Amino acid sequence: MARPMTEGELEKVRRDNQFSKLFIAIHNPAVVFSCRVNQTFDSLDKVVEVLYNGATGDYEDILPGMTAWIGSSAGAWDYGQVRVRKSATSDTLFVGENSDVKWADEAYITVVDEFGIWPKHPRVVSADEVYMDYDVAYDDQHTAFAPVPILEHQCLWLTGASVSTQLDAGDSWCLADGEMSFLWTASGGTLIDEDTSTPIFEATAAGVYRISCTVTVGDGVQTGHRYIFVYDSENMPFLATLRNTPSGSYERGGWDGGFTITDPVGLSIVRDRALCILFSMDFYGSDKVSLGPVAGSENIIHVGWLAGESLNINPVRGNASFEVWGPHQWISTLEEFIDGLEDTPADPTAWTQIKNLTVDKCLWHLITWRSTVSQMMSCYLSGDSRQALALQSGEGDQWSQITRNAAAIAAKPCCDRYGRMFVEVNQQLIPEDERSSIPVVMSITKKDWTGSVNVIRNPTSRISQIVLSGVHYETGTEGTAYFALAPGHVFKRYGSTTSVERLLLNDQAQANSIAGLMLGWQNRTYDFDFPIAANNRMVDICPQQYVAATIAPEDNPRGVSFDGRVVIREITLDWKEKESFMSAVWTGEEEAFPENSTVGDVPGVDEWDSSVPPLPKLPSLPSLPVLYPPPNMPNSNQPKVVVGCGSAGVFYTRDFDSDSPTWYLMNNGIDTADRAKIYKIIVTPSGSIWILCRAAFYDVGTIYYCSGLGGTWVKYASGADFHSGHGCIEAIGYDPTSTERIAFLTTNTSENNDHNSIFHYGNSGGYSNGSAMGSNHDAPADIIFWNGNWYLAHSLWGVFATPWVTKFSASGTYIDSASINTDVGQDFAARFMLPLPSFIFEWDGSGAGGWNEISSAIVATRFTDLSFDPSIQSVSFSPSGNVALAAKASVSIETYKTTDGGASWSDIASVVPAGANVIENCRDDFRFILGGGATIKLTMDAGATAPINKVGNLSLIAPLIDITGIRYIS
Amino acid sequence: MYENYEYKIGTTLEGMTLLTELTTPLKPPAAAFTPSVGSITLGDGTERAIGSALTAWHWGFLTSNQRDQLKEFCPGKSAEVYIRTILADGTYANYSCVMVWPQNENRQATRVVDITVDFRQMVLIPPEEP
Repeated sequence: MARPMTEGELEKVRRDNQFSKLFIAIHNPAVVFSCRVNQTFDSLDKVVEVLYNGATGDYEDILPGMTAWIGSSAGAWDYGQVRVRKSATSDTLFVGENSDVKWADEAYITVVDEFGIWPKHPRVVSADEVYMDYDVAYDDQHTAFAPVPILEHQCLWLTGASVSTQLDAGDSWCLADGEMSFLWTASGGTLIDEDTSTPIFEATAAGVYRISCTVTVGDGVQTGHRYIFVYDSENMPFLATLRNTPSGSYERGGWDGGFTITDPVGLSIVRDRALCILFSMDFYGSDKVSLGPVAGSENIIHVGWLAGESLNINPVRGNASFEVWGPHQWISTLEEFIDGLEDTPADPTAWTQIKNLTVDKCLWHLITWRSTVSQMMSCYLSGDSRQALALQSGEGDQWSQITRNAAAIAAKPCCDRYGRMFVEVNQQLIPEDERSSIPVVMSITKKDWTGSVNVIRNPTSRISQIVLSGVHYETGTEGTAYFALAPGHVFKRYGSTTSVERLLLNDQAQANSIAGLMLGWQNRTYDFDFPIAANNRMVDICPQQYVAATIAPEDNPRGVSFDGRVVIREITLDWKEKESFMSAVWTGEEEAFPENSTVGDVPGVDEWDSSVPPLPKLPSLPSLPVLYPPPNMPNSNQPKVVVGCGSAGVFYTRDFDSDSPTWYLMNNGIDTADRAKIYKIIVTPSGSIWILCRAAFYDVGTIYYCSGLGGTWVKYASGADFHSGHGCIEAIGYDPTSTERIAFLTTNTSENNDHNSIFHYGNSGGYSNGSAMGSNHDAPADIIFWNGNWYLAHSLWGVFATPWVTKFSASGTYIDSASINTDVGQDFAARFMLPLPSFIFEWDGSGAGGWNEISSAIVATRFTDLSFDPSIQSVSFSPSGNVALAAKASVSIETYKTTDGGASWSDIASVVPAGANVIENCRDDFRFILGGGATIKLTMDAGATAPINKVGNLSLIAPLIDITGIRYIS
Repeated sequence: MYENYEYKIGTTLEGMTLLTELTTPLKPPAAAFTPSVGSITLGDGTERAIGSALTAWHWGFLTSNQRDQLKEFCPGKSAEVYIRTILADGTYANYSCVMVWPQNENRQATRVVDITVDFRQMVLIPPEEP
């Protein structure tokens, strides 16, 4: 961590005769094991393990995370490089899933002592079968959190018989409580007190030594690996000429640089993407000492990996120039599958769950289970305890995923010169009274800078208003939204408005505080460039730290004065070759303080009372005829917006037309118990979404609605609200000819008499009671709107009930009803209906099977050539009423198809995989969405060819889901 | 004859020997001491020396034996050595430094004429407390 400079250090950086010698340590990893491929490959796609023979070395020396080179000759990597993902056996090497390596029989495999930044990919076999890193099943990894070891590389000089250094893993951390233990090993040299956090390492010979520290907390274990480079006069590192002097940027997320090597000796061993460390031998007058914030690694200037290379070829003296990327750049290249984690109140049972989910827990998962980051570099997380219902950042590179998740707490990842990653809350957004723990590294005096200090004064505000929103969530609660404005409802005179959304918040006060701090930060007055007159590497762009600065009015022509703290955001090291003098330019911003802020407005709710007296009852508008699209033509556009539901609640996507749709959960506002029993989902023409939550039989039933995709659900009605607490909600339906009109049926569970049920109709503003009528008390029923009237299919009277259809007017008035009993066994059962152009298509969950065509006079004609799965969306017709796909009532649920309005059905199971019992037509004769279990597919030709998989990330955000409803929106 | 001169050289601090007492003695050189490679102006207007001190030892000529004697301390193009040399104020101090052999040697008969040896990256070795 950053710390204030000592008096002795300040005295040194203000001395004359500072100079340095620069060196480059380039890791040429030792060979641990070599062998040759002993198999042929039918495919080079998704290779995860390789048979080998002809081994040299002990396969048990291979450690997970090591790098394997694959090449056409011994020690070559021309075929590619892979990561060892787990311990090898006597004939099999297990590697990270790859498709880019040119595997071939008898290819040479060289496992080297190197731990790089690699992705770990998840493997989704099915909703119930998800693995990390190909074959790691979920056990207790999200409870017995693996600790994150903290240790650093070192570069040492052997000038006598031996050299020793103290190692330190004391900053290692773990998300789980418990005593932390340490066990160190080294690939050579000697360790003293290797079971403590601070052992001594001693080497008696030059070389590269791997040091490994296994940190254990309870059942959580992780081993971190770093390297100690030991040089002597006979084994010198490369002398470096800096090409691009290292520079770091908080905005960019870390440090990069470049150097040139002119010494040809050994250049040929420099390997692509090799770890390289720029380090120095520093002199402050007569003192040979290096100053830096990390004990033991003070002489390290920059840790990175070779990225690019350019060769200068000339007849006298060629050279090679290398570009070096810090870890942030490399993590940015790790293209990842989508991430997503959900909070769970109980111990997690899947890779997608974490109990009491926080941003830190999500990031830990990313750096530990989705990459090797926490194994091969030190990572510090925020320590923030704000909980999240879910965190998902979509697909992309892992740095972006870390950045997007961290943004929920106004934090950001950044790597320092040593390649340590810090995910910290932007220190400008930390309340004033919580800044005391942030160190002031030094006060910049006139003795500390040279040339001229640039002061950029910003007298005009850049941001006029911050509109901030976020939620407070605790496990087991629904969450509370907070809104804040800074400076208030009225803009500042100048600047644009900025919206900050989806923050995790503790309370309204924190929302207001952050809004004010953001506005103060964005509108700060001063930015600075300090050209530092010393080899001072104590200041960095992270972790959190300040420098203090004073500018006196008499020192500048404008009489500007400043006396305060500065946050350094960029550092560029400067190297004067002739003088061998390293210095720096620090670019920073003044410490920011909050501006005014206030409670914001809930979207759509005015500040003032805008209510008006209720309108007098108006006559009902005449019903519109049901409008069906014209005869269908093939539509080559895939559906784009789709909403669904299942045992994990409601989910939706806006890119269903992509190869891998990104699904999002939208359960905010739905009671946890109700999420798992969504019986029916409907979408009105207004876009409002409605769900009826109830078990198939014997349940109270609750209706929720939300105004649109991604919205918060509002509880609309519960069965318990009716019939003196004995009610249940049996059915819900909607009117497709009205902007937003729904109907539902409540029944009285305490009696089976006539008039024990009430028909209701309304919209999101409320509902009215229609006619009372008879219905069995809790078998699921169904409501549709057809030809200007509501139709209710239900069970009437007692356990041996009769299937019945009742017709209501648009305003809920009883019109007619009749039995639709056409066979024995159709008694007490769930009923389902679809409105077709010329009749109602009705089936049920009774044992009788078959289906009915029902006329407007409620005359049922029975057909028995096919029985359908007893679920609410097991049949779906196109608007023409001609084409339908349906799920047959059978154990395997085969898909059937009709193109003549149900007159005949054909089995298309040879094309459409079985198991789809949720079918949704997309408003033409061709496009149907098929769901079932955790699978969701699209057919563009009504099942003529194999449907397209549209699971996307659904299995990750809701891995155990059993889909019960799908609605096409657009 | 040269008792007032303290020029020394060696591969270790303790092993430094007066030039005049080497196996093949060398005459004291003409030395040009530079306190630092360069300087920068600080915010208060003062200067800070940056880079190491430099010095150069120059002889009008060295015999072949003397040249070879000196070359022993710098077998290659450069070598890390210890020297005791004169400062700008006429006093002497010990330094560890890099000795750089000249790029060209002007040999005339059995002598090398106008030879200058540079010493860079000079780090002062403070005198021990009495």
